[in-house]
Amino acid sequence: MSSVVLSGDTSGTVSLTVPAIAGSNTVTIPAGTGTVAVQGVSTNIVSGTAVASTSGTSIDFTSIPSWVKKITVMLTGVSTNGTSNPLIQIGTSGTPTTSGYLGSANNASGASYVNYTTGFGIASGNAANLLHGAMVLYSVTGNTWIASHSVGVSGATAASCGGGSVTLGGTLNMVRITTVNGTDTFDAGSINILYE
Amino acid sequence: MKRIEVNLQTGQTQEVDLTPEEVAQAEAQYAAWQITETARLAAVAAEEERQAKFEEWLKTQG
Repeated sequence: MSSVVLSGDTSGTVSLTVPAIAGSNTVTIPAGTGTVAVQGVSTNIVSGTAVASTSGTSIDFTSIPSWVKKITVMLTGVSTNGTSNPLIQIGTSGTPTTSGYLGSANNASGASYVNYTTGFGIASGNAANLLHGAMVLYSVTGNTWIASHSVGVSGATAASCGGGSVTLGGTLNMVRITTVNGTDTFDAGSINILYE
Repeated sequence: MKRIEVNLQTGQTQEVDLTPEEVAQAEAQYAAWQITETARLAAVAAEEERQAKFEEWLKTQG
């Protein structure tokens, strides 16, 4: 088995090897600056910066790279000061897309089933409720994205699940977490995203 | 009104004031939500009333 051996600046080596019977194959290393993931050792999943959702009417994660195909929006004890349901919007060129969404979410208490057209909604409906869970966004093809969420609630015996889809006018590069009415303010918890 | 922005490229988090246009948009959004929410609450109340009447009727059926 032949190897290319790279020496560490200070100590140790990393060997690049191929199978003894290798056939003719080409592995292309992507152009760009970064770290190549090794299965079982590291991951290509990138974590954003967790932000306290204790103020503001919206929270934006911007400058999402164009190669991203999956985004997980994670909510830990997130709450607002009103009854408008939380809404997750995605957008291009730093601007959220505010129409064209298809889908719905239900509140597991059975009290409401709501269609959302201005974003991907999460049923909460009560200022005392704290949301715990995640919404996962997947790139289906081109600029079409789907969303799926399952979120539990503390402060009430309820939960929310749902999904939706939207086709953006360009490449996704931002995610906004806000509310349907756009004026309720976040007052508890934290939010972060993973992207890959 | 304010917005929190997390720039994933720089790692910077900042709180920014909404522009007058964004505030106007939020106010329009709120007005639209209020209409929808009022209709939804009315529908929920009507359903609860129907359910209450049904349960009353059920009690009379022995």
